[in-house]
Amino acid sequence: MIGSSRREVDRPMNLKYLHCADLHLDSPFQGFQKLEPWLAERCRRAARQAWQNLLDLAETEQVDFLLVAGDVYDGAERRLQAQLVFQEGLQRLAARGIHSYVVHGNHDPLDGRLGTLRFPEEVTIFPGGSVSSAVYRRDGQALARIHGISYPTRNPPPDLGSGFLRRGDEPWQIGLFHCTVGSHGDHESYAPRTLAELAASDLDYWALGHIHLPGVLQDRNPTVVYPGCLQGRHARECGPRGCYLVDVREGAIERLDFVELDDLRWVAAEVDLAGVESMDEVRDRANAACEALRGGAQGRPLLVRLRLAGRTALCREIRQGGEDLAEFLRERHGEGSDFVWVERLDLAVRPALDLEGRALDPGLVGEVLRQHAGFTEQEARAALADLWERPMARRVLPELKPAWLRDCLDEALVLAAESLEED
Amino acid sequence: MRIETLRADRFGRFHDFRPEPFAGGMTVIFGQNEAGKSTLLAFVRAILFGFPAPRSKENRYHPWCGGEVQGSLDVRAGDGSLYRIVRTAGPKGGPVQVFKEGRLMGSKEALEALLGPVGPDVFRKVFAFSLLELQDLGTLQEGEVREALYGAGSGGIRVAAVEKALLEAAQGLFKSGGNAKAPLNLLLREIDQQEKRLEERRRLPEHYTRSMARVEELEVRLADLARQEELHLTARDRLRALLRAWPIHRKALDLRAEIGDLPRIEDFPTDGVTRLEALEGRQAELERGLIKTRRDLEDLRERLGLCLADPRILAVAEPIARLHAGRERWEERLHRLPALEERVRWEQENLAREMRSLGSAWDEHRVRAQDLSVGLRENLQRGRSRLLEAEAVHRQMAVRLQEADDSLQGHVEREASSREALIRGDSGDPRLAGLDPALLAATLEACRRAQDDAEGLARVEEEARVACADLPEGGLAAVRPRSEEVRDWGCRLQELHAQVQAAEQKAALAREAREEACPRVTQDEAALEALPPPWFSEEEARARTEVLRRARQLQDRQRQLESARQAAATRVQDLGRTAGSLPASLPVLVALAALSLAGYLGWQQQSVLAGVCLVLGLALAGGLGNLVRGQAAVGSDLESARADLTRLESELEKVRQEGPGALAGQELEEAEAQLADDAERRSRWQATHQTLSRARADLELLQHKAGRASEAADKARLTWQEGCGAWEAWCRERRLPVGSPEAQMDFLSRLDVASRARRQVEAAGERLARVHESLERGRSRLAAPLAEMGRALPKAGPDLLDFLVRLAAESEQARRFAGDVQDRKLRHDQAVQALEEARDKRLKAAEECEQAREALKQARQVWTQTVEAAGLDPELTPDTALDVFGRLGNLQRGLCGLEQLRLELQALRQEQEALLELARETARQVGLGPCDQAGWVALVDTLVAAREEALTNRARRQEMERSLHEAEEAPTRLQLELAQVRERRAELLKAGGASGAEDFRRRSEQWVELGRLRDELRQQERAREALGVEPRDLEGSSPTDLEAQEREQVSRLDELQGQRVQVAEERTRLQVEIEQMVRAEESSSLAQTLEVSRSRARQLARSWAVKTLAWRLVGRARQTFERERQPFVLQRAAEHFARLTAGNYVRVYHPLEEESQLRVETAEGISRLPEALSRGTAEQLYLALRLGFVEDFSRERDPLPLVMDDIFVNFDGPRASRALEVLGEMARHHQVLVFTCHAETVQRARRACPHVQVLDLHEEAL
Repeated sequence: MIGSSRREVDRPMNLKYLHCADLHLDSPFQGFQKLEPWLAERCRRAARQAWQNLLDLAETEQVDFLLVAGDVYDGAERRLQAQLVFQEGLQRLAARGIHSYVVHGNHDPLDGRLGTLRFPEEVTIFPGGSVSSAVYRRDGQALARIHGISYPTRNPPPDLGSGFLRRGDEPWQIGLFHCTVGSHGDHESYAPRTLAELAASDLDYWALGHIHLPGVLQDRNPTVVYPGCLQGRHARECGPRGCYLVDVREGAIERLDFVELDDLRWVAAEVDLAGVESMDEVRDRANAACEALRGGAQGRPLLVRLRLAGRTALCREIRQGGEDLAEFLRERHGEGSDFVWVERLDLAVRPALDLEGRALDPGLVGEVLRQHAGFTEQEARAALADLWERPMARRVLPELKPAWLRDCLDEALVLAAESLEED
Repeated sequence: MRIETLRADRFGRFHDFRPEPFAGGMTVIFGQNEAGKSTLLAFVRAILFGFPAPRSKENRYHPWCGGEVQGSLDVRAGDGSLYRIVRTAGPKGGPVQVFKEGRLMGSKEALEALLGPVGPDVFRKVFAFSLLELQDLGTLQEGEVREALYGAGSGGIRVAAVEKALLEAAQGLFKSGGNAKAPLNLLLREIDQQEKRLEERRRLPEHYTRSMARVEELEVRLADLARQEELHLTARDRLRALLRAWPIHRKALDLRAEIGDLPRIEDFPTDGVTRLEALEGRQAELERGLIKTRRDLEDLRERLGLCLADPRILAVAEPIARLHAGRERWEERLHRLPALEERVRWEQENLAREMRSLGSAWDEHRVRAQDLSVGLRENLQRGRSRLLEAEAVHRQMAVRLQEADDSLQGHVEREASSREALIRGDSGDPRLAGLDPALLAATLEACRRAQDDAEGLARVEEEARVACADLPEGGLAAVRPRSEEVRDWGCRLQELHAQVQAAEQKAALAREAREEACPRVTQDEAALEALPPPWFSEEEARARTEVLRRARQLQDRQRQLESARQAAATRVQDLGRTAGSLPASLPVLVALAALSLAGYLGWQQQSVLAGVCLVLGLALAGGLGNLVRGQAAVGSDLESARADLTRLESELEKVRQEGPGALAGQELEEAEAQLADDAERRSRWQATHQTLSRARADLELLQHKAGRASEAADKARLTWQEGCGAWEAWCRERRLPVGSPEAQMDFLSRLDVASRARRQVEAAGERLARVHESLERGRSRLAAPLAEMGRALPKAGPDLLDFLVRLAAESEQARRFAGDVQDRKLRHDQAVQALEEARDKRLKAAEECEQAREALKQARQVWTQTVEAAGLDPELTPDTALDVFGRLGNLQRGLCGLEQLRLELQALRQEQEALLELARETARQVGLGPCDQAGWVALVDTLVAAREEALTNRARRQEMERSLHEAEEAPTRLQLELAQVRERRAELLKAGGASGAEDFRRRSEQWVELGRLRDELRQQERAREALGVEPRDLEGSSPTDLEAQEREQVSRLDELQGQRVQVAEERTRLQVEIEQMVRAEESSSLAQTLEVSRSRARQLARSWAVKTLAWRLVGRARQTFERERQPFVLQRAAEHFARLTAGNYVRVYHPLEEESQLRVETAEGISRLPEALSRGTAEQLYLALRLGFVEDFSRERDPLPLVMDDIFVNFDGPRASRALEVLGEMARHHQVLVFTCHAETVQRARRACPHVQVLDLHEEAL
């Protein structure tokens, strides 16, 4: 028992439900520089397949209801097919008597382009504005109350969802909310909450969404869970993705299992090329890394971002032949049902020459090092203004953040030093 | 790096040109104009950096004597290595080869490695420059030069190239231009397009919602329309039914009227007439049958009396039937009995014969008594099998015994043979077999090779001795160390000799060309003399041409004016005639008369006439006015024309006064012809004169060339002689023989031969020594074992070889013998062992054979007992006994068959007797006579026929009796039926209400007609009812009204259907759209494509950013480098400049705020721009700058030679001397080559630098 209702259990109460979030059904895969037609089709269907896997799981486990904690669609302009797929899935569950409780998040707020799709009465879509609740009954017996609120707009006020509070006599009460609890790297903060605030609402289980990395923030009093996204869509969403299966027995959580549902899995791996002496050796090491990944994937297809790192005298050759190497790996491992597709090779190799040690070098390379050290962020922005000041480029390209600029400058230093050394 | 020697072949004027080697330090190359200084400078540039391209503006120095341009430079690098750079003309500067110490190092890459970062531009502008390059400061500020100079301390990196490459790489990804074709530009535009397309797709949900709502709306509308349509359809159908019911209704009314016209018949018998006719027919038929029946009764009674049957025959009918049944068997047995008797007899004979064949002891009784049971037969067969098996085993054992005997005999023979072979054989020293064959073979081989090599060495030594026979004392020992030098001398002398020949050939060619050119000049001069001179000088011709042109203009103007004057005069005349033809008084008079007459008639009260006259008068007055106005206009035109005529005449007069005058007309044309002739003469004269001038120039040039070629030939001869002298001195110094060039060449070749021979002798000696060493090792290893055998190894030489050969043979023989003995022993042992085994086998076979014999004997005893037990002859063989046993079985079966035949024959005979007896008894009963066996058949036939007849007659009588009985009942029955028929007819007539048959028929027809009408009426009513129309529905309406209402309904229906189709089409279209929207995956694919494009754009942007930043880093580093490096260059330049100007200028600097403006400062502190300096001083500044740059460059690189072509032209004497001093000091570390055509420069150089090498290019060319 990892969590239990803080109310005294008056009567035996068993519940089983699925908690998922961030389906992003209409979201394209990101990061691909080039996409084979068959893989594009596979990626295009991956999120929907993961959704189908979820529906299969709900039927197999004969759950009572499904909780969807926002971001069903990727954009406010959600695509029709995605909406239809979602509608069809919930209809399928409803036909089996499985209820669904849905809130919308920042990616699919209520003011988005939403078609007037009809959902069966077993589906509850929480409105925006204020927190409302719905009671789940089985055989006329009220077993759970789900509180929830959808995002009325993409950028709601920070106090959205401040009205979560235990109400009624239902023994198991759930908060269904798309929000940010704590700090989560590059995720934008929406409706920020703290664990203490959540605990103050006196609910039993917080079904959260928005953070794509699955995890249990707090296992009891109350249980706070992020199920993560259903399907990783880019290299930053590596690892297993799926939902949480919650089994409540006698008013306490007996099982809180993460179930992997992703159709394609993103993996990041690093190949240490320090000291390699030939391109054959580079290829062999990369090949071995792919083999190892395939061996550990248990037959699941993988999308791999391979990072080639280490200091090597073959730095320039590796950089020039990077795409050829990627093509080689794709040809070698990109077939079969358990394919390993190298989405990109991150060429983080560094030349064998010790740049840092040459900072005092009176020669040109040393001068370049000194210039690099004195290159300010403003100067870098000015140097890149030709491109970044174009409206189209600003819309497409990443924001010029200091870390990104520093990475580029470091790489530029290597390139400049290599060019001068080579000459 | 310094140039040591060079060789220019067919480069401009130089043909196989090899100047004296440069000594290093400073070398002044002196040559007059056209001596080839600039050519030599260009040659050095060309060898190092390539020959100019065909399209280059540079002088390509085409070979004067044709052929392919080529040349080489021998340079010594800073590390002391000697390189030879060889280049021939060709594309891209021509192929180049770099040799290091005579070994090919590579081509262009090797040369670039040798030259370092210095490119052609830098070399031209900094290291090897002429006065032209020196004078231009700008050349030092240009890209590659600037980079090379400021980057001198950068370790040889071409920063600008790196910078450019980075910039190009970045621009290869993205350019800031709006419509650039770089990948990122294209991609961004593509993304824009994709986003727009996706945006369109994103509106799908709204469209879907709208469409769905519209579809629902249309569904409702469709349902409403369908309801309305149904109502109108019902109404229309009702109207159509009424319309269709109207004729039916009318027809029904008619039918009712017809029915009313017929008599009222409530009922009538069904098929009354038919039934009446049937009853009447039946009645007649019954009456006829009654009469006939009575007649047939009488006839039947008569025939019965005539039909009778024999009672006796009928009494024996059953026996007759049995006889008839046995008739066929009787006949069959009559034939069968003899055959059966014959077969019994034949069987008896066969059995008797068979029994006799078994022996006399056998008779029918014994055969029948013989036991032939299966058990007995099986006993016999088993006994036979055992006996046969025992016999076979016995035979097999006998064969095996025989084989064992044969084998034993063979092994005995083989053992004897091997024993004999073992005893035979030669003996040898078995220890010889122990010698190591490999060692022996190697030693023998070494011995042979030593002998061969010794012979080869002797031969080579003999050849060497012959080769060195006439060599100087000391022979090869003296020559060998100097062979390389001698070869170089040979090459040098050969080259000199070739140069002499080439120069003489060129001189001869030049002379020939000059001789050929002289007649052409003479010919052109004669042609020029023969030409007629032009009429006028050029100025006169131009003045006359101008006069003629003016005269021609005036002539044309005069013609124009005259024609205009004539036209004006004609016009004046015409206008004058027009004005004169107008009578002005007559209309006036007529008008006045008319007006007067009108006044008079008015006065006379003649108003009508007065009015006419008044009108006439007024008309005449109006016409008179018009006429007056026309006359005035003509007068005006006339005046104008006259004025024009006057003007033209005066102008014409002026032109005549100014006009061509004496040149008019024919004279003018003649003057023009003369002028044209003069132009043509002048043209020819000028062309010929130009040809002559060119011929003279060519001749002059050829003369000059011939002179130069002669000079070059003389110089080449002098050089050759000097070379020969030097060679002789060198030979004398080394005490070598001196001969003519040919002899020297021969001597050199013999030296080569001798040297090679010497090397061969040494090589052969070394090889022989190695072989001897190997042989000695073999000897030492063989000596010990041979000593044990008491044999000694001879010394090296033929004896040793023979000994080793014999030793090898003996050793081989001993090894072979030892091997043979071993083999024979092995084979004998094997034979003995095989013999023992054969004996064992023979004994075993004999035992087995004896056992088989005993078994056979026992089997035979058992067989005898078995046969006796079977009651057969014990002497019978197994096969015979079994045969007899089988035949006894056959005999027993034959006897049984014979018995059966006999019984069958007996039965047949008894049956025949019974039939014959039955026939006799029957015949007796019917009263026929006795019967024997032969008459049996006829009797039976007679009886059978009689029986058949009696039976037939009895049956016929019975039949007739039955018929008679029936016939007696028929009349009564017929009469009864007739009465019934008559009664039924009467009833029928009554039922039809008819008094008689005719009345009945008439009423029947009326009834049928009434029924038809009623049926038809019912049909009409059913049809009406089928239409759902009641008669009352039709009341009060007419077909016309109904038709009008029906048309109205149809129209409304059409309208509704049209609306429904439209709505349905719209709904279908929307449903299709919805279906497409639902199925469309395009937006998803598009989003994925867009994402891929964005990723690609981000990647490209990052790559561009990295390259751009790298470019910026390198650029900034370069700028910093330039700033910080510059002071050293300028400092050195200032020092040199101060020295060159004797301290007049003390500083050279480059203010940072004015980067492009170099400045100098005088000793008085006055700052000046280079433009403000005198030409000479400015050139000294530029020279100082170059020297500073070269020094800075040389701090980290191997210095390149400094080559200057006549740069002191604008230097005054003292400054030139100081410049040469500075150069002399630089020459301590750099090679400095100074080309000059001024002897004083040579003198100054000698004074400034005592060790200067001076080369006279003229002499060198020679």
